[in-house]
Amino acid sequence: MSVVINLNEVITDDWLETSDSDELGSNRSVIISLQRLQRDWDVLQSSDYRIGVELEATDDVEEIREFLPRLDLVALNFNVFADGRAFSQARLLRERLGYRGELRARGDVIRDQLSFMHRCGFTQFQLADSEEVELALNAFSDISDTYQPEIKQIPDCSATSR
Amino acid sequence: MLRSFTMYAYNQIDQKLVDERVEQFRDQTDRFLAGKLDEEVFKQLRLRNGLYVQRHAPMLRVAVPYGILNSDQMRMLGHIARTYDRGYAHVTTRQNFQFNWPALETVPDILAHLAGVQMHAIQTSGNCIRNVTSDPLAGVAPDELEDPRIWCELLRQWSTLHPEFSFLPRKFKFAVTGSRQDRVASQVHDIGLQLVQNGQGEVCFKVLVGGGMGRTPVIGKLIRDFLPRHDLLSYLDAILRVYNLHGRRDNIYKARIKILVNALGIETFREQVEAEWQHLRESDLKLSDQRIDRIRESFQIHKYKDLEDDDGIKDQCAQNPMFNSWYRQNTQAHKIRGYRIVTLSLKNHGQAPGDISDTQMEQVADLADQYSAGEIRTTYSQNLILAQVEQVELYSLWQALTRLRLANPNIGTVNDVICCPGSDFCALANATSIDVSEDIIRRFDALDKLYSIGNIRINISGCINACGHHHVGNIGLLGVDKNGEDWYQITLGGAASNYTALGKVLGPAVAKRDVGEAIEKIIETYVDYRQVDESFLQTLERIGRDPFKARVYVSRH
Ligand code: SF4
Repeated sequence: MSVVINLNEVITDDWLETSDSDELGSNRSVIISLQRLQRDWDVLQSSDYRIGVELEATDDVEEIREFLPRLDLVALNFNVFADGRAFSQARLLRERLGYRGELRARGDVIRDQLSFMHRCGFTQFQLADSEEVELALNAFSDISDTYQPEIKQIPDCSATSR
Repeated sequence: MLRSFTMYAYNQIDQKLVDERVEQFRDQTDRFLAGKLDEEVFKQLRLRNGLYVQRHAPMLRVAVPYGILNSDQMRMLGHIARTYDRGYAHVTTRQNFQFNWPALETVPDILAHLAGVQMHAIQTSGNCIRNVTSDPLAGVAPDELEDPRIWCELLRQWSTLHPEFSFLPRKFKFAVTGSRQDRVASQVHDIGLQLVQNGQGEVCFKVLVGGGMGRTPVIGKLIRDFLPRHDLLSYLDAILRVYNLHGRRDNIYKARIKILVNALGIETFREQVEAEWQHLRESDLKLSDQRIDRIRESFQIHKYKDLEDDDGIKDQCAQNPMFNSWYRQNTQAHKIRGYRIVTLSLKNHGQAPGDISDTQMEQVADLADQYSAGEIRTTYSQNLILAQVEQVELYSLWQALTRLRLANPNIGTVNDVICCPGSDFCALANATSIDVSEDIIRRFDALDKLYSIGNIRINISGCINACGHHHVGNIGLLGVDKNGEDWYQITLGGAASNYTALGKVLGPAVAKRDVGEAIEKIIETYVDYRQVDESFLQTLERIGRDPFKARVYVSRH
């Protein structure tokens, strides 16, 4: 199972990625696709599942606007690390849509982009299998000051333990 | 007191950022060499630190933000050329310096040396916002509305390690000008920014978007005619966000912003940007007067003397024809009385256009200290400029430059060729470019011949990527591969200034051995047909391409 970093510590991932055809099972925290979210919304919204949704780089974040108050996690997928669309999606979620829940980077998530991701509003990083955890945990302190305005109300990676 | 800006001086934050960036890259390089970093990942990371892997060796492109260096920086470049390279470096059309032979493992050390003199190689390549180019005559041009460098520095900071825009669909280039005369080719950049005055006399930005070279050359389109200066960064964020989300990523040849703008049409693209901008306009990106002032105050000031124009120059010109030629061709008017702007020619026999040796670099640094407020500028046409020279010193400066082989009086002429490195260095090339420019320079070596022709811009690119900007050369040469041989397609009629145009293909490509002669015939045709004071482009416009074609392809008819 891939390692998930929350801000700058490794966490046990209690979220289960669930495909569109799978039954929702005993795991109470599920990550589902945008299509399933739209399809099963009536049932989901009144269930006791914690709901996370995964978006692809081609999805328009506006599509989940109405669901956001009920979502505990949004996962943005990096198909390949060099595809930078999720950076913009993250900022839109935080700054335009006012989303305050967990924002997870998944897919080709590499150490040397973690700091950019965090600065765009990601709080959780599901590392690609190739990545070494120790190295990844140090990634947030590579560069201390940056020139761009900070995204507000996002917890700071460097403020915690390390 | 008459004054102008010279260099931006780093504060602690600027310095720390470049220092930390060096250590970050050192760590990445170590991990790569230890087999702990994937090759494709390392490629993207090294590109964002200016490091390519070329035909023979790595190539390191060092940023010269908006084309200005101080003498210590120039000395450091000379030191690097000697210690880590083969004793020379190359000035590019984007005003940067390139080293062709550094060893990969030494690059972190080179970057550390650069950081020591407030330089870096951040974002000089890769699919990100590239180092911003500007007017080499910033602050000294008589036709300047406002010094663009304050804005360039703001852009440098805004774009450096931008968290959202460091992995764009493709590279992204800015050019900024504050003068009436466009010396930055602003119409052929992803974004061109021109400082202009609106109807109320306020200075604003005219914003052009979607220009570019490469295999689909496009002239930039007007997206906003008067952008308030305080809104510059928020507006650019809006453009970049639309591009980052919607630019094509499935085909690198269709990934530049020009393709997106063309596909949507400028009207729709503008609407999308405006919609985005409404959310960003009043954000923290809005520039306060204090922020702008802080940048302005970080520039060092050069104080001018109150001088008269120097009458002695007339006599010096009359007595010395070589000085006279140099004065007329390689120097130009300065906004301050008693001063002159001097261009150092990097176009000589036996030297690739834009190349400069380690000792030349060090001596230019000394000359800059002695004659030009310690600053040196790099130009789009791959030359250097000393911009603050007192007229009374011109003669002795000329003598010093002559000894250094930097006084060839050919600026703006046929011999002032703009040229990419071609297949001598570049892994992507179809053909050589350096030997072709050498051939041209040799053919037009006699000064009386050169001057009787007048100013014509020749541009050479070794392949369709168009780093030599052949599309906008009055005469453009593009290297093509024909069964493993170097051939060249000729275009006529390009220009990249206030009037910007893309050249049109003259006819079938010609073999390398015939290129020099073809250029000679084109120029002969112009000289034969031109009317008094007519420029190459004017003659071409009047008579069309046929007379040129007839002469170039005569033997094959
Ligand atoms: S135009 Fe082609 S050959 Fe010349 S430098 Fe660019 S990529 Fe290389």
